Amino acid sequence: MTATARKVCMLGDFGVGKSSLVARFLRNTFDEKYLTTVGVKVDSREVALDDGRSLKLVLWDIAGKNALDALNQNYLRGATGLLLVADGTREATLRTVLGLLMQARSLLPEVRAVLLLNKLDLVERWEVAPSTVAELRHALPVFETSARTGDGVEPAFAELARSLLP
Amino acid sequence: MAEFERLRALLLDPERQRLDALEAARDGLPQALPAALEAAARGADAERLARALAEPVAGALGSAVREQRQTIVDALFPIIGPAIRKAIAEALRDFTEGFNRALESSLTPRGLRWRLEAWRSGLPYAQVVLRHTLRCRIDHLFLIERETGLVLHHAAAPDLPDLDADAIAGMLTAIGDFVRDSLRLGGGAAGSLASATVGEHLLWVIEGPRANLAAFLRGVPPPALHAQLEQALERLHAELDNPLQGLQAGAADAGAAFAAALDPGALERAAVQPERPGRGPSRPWPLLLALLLPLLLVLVWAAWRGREAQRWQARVQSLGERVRATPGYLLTAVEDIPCREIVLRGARDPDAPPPEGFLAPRPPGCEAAVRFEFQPVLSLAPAIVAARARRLLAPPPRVVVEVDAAARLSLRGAAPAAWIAAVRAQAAWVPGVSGVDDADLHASDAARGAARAELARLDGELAGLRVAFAPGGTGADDSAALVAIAERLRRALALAGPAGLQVRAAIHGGNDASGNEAVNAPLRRARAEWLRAALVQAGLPAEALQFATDDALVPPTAAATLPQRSAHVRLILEDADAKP
Repeated sequence: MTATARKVCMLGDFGVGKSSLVARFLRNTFDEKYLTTVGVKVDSREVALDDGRSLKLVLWDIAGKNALDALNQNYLRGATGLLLVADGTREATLRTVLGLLMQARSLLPEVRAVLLLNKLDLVERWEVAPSTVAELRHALPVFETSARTGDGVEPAFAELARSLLP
Repeated sequence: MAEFERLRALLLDPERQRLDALEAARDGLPQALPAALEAAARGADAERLARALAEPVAGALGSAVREQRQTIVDALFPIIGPAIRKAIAEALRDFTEGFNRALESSLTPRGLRWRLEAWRSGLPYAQVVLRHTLRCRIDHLFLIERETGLVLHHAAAPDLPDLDADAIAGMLTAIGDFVRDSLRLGGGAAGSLASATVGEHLLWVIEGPRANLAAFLRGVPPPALHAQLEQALERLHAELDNPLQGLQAGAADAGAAFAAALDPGALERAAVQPERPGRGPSRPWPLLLALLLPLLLVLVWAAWRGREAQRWQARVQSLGERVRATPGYLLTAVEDIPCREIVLRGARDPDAPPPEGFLAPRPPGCEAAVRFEFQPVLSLAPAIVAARARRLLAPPPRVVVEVDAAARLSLRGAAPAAWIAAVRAQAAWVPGVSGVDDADLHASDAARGAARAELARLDGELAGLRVAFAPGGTGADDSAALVAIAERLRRALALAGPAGLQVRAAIHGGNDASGNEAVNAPLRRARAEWLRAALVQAGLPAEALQFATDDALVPPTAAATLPQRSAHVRLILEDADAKP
């Protein structure tokens, strides 16, 4: 064990780009088919912070659903961080991921969360209003990301890692 | 018309051009199809293309096998040969390995060691062989925090590449949850994924209260390995029971304990160690047999040695008794080294039998050298004194030499007068002789002369004694003459020894002057035979009576008288030394 590890679960609706973000950020140890078969895919990455500390994030990419069923609740067990992903071009996905956050907090009251508004590269088509984003920033860290270009991905993971360090 | 054509062209030209293009495309299809298939195979519809082509390609292959068999054979030839050779090589390698293993386990010290281990532990021999020969290796060991799925410790075989242990542990946890949820066991249920097999790889998941142990194995694990892993996990839970500092992901101080408890090599070695005595069904008799066998051998050896020693003592004792019982020997000591040497010490008269006679017959048992150490001595034993007298006096054959218990030398028989004179002077000086008795010793020269003279006299008397026969008769009734002849013959035969002669009787038959020779010769013979038979009947030995020829002793004369019509006996005297 070279670094402290934390379990992080990634939640979001269908097609919001969770797997693309994982592909951008992590090493992709396992095939995507696990998402459709088992419903989850686990990867890890050690995140080095500016202050010299590091943290290993073990990321559970949970298949997109509107609500957490029993299996997904099992997958959440033991998680200390959440990566919430919404598609900026579909405002409905924001409502879904916030609903998932509420559900997860009922299971994990102390869990830390970061919201990623994905598809920044299609910002001209965004349905999420800037005012909504500004409102969300009061409740939790929000990052506008693009899995396609990589914009905002690293800072989002770094912020989550920073919040999980003791 | 022209307007019609123009109108027609206006209306149908686009359609005609499209038809022309379609025809051109159809004509160019053979040239375009390969490129189109290649593009499709590289594109997103590659799988669809494969599904579409599967059935026609299979059908085409079937038709080709039926109709163009040689082409198919030629095409497959470069593939089938190496494939067959590889399969044969693999089979031969497996056979060779199995054969070598069987040989090794049967005839080598390792095989004998395994058999001893099977006897000692009570396990079947095959199980011991399997335990030693089946290869099993722990590729990876993951100690996974049960709640989070995070890796607490990861150990791997040294030659394996690095992998994302956290991701694998997470997926294992997720799959475990997935299996449990699929079977609707619920989160708190005890059941879970305990093992999985993929080819030669095996996954074991052993659950603990706060951490699970996942082992990736290769090969066939020994039965004890699972128990070893369970014990290791239990030990970790017992030693690190503080949930804040012990089995928590990232607890640095637990690393050493994890590494010590989860060393793959140590666990493998512990799993193949023989079971401790008492854990399995033990069979003590092989051990007892192993202990008793040497003891039995020692007892047999001791019994054999005792019997040999007894036999040896009997042999030594017998030899000593034989020497002591032999006149002329005085045995003072007998020393022996069993099966090596016997030494007899004492004294021996030179006239006693040689000691080599005691060596025969050879007794049964081990070989040993017999050594005699006898000092010379003069024995007074009568037999030895007699032997000494014989050696010193050199008596002639007809003289008997004896020594009685009082050491008195007795000489009997006939001997030359000169020898008798000498022995009367020397006999008393023979060592051990206390006196000499020579009363029965007589000079052989005078006796012989007298006997011979008497024989001559008897022959003369026999010449005058005749048994008369009637004329032409072959039987007589002259008993007085017959008795007289028999008496003299008996005396003559008795004098043969003293006279030193061989005495025989020649029987003569006679006839008178009448008759011719053809009649008289058988008559003479018949009369001689009658007399011989009568003498034999009177008790004389037949072998001493022979028929004499007329020419030899009594030639017939022309003036034969009555007394010639008779039969008579004459003596034949020959020197006894001439005919042995």
